[in-house]
Amino acid sequence: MADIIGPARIENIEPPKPDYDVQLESLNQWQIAWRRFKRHRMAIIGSTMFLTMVAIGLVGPFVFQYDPNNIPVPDVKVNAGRPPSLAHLFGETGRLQLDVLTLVINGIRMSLLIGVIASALGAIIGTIVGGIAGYFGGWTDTILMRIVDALLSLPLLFVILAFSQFVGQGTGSWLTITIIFGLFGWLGIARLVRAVILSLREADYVDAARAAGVGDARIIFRHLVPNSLSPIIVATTLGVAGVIIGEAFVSFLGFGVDPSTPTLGNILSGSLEFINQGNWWWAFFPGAAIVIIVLGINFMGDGLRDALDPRARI
Amino acid sequence: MSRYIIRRLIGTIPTLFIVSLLIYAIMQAAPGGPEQKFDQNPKITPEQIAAFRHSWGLDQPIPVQYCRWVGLCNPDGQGLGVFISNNGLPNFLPSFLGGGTNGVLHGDLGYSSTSGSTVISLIAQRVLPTAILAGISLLVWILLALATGILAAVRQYGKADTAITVFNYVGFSFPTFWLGLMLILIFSQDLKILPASGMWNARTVPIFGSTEYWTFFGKNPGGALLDLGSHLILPVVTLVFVNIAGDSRFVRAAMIDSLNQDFVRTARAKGVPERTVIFRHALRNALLPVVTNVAIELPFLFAGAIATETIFSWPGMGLAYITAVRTYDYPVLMGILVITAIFVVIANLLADILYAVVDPRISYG
Repeated sequence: MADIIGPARIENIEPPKPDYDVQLESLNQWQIAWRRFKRHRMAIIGSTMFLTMVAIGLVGPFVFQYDPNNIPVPDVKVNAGRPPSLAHLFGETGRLQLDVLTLVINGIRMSLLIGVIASALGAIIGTIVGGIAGYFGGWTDTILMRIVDALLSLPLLFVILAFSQFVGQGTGSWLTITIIFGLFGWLGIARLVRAVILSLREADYVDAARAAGVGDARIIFRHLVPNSLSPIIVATTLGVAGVIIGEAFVSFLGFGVDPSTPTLGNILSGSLEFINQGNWWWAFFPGAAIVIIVLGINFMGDGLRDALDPRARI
Repeated sequence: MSRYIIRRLIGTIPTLFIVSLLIYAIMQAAPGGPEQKFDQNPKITPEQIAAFRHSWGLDQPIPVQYCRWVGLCNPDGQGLGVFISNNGLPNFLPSFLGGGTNGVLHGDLGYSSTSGSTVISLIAQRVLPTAILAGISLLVWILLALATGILAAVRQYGKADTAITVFNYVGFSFPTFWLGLMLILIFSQDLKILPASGMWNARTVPIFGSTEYWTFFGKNPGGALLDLGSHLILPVVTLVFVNIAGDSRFVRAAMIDSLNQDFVRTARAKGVPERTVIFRHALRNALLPVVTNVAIELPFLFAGAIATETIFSWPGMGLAYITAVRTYDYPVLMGILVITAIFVVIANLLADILYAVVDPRISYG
């Protein structure tokens, strides 16, 4: 037997050529999620809508070079403004006769900025609070979660409304209002993070980390929080839409950002006075911008949820 | 079961306590105070402001202010005696047991700092309009959510399902106040068929809630209802359009879940007509989660009418809140927040209990 399968003969045997190509890809979690996201039709539509609005907000001021602060000589005859025309695609506002298109472009940028920053701030606070509550448990958890429960039983928009008015007196800077929204926007994320960490803190790798002498803060934020990133990303994305609508409402009522800063809510607020004179274009376009942004974010958030967290469907 | 209910009832006490603490803390954290309303008035002297603060007890330490507001402390007491009521018993006891009469615990929310009337009477005037708006919206909303949800579930992935899903997403993305504005533009500015704002036609109908209104209502109920109805259409449409999405999706999910159960297949195999299968077998089971979901949403509908009320000048609690924010009327603000929070906590409790009662599969120890 030994001389039949000699070493010389083995060298002569060529490995059989496969008649097909095997390509093994190893994909990490994010690449898999990105594949699922790309296949989600609604998510792609939503992202396109959202990114288009972002692009308009960023590039728009360079394409449509009207100065929003450039106030032409008001024409007494058309106090209520002019309807859309070729010179002013979205028409002119009443009184100061500003170009509505320019206002809306700047409003989109401001509103997106406020939405993204406030939502991110809420996510950070929520992750910290949820992480601490879930990891330490016991009394810390009870007290923190009781506070979350209590805050959730308040109508938060009411509270934000009062807070914005008392802090800014209706002329707060956009950053002030953003911070207020962030300070009241962490409750949902805190609950999410706590739930994930509660289920993971007894895992072996946490014990291993602790045995290796890793500190509590590092275990929470390096070992546990990354596992709850998926729900955090989804909630933060959807949160942007919530803040944009909320800010628009607060500013619309005149309690929010200083009226000279063009947020979508402020533009709507100004239009209210001229609605009776048939000045529909002033109110229509900023509101339509809000709807497109929010619809885009909601589609995108749903796609993200399906891609990142396929089990979490209602 | 009763042990579970009692345990949950006791569990609400710390929550409500923390809620009261938070409301107070948030109002303290915001700069300014009730005296902020004199800010634009050059004739007011610092002495007058100090007198104003003293007369409202705002010169007291914050814990004392909170203690008085909640009703743990007796404002007439001195030193440690603040915890003792005028009857010589602990102040937090109910009045008929010898406790005090002041503070949230005893149903006293204080006085409005602008009009001077009690907060309770102010809110009481506003409850009925809000209840009418919220109640009718809720009715329309549940019926439509059920209808669209069932249709979408039965025709899952069909044309109707897609259309309803898109409609839900669009509705969900509308800012309430902008939708209201657009409806006013179309139906009252352009077409002039519906009133833009208010709850009654000021030219022909007396003020709602006054005795004149009810005598008018008694003489001409049809006309009064027609007037009320025409003012209700736009706010109700606004509220329903924006809020229906969540429940419609919820009903759809519950119905799909229920339609895939074994008992539905059994019913179909026995030859039960499809209509009976859907409404008798599947819907009954799908309703369980829907009922509790509605109970949880109820208070938010009540409070959520705020945006709608401001657009349509509907004289409810939302409008009262906005006015109070404008005039720095802290007692009214806190009163409305307290009442809404109590409403939310009770509704959550009811939802949990309801769920345990209607679903025999769930046992609570």
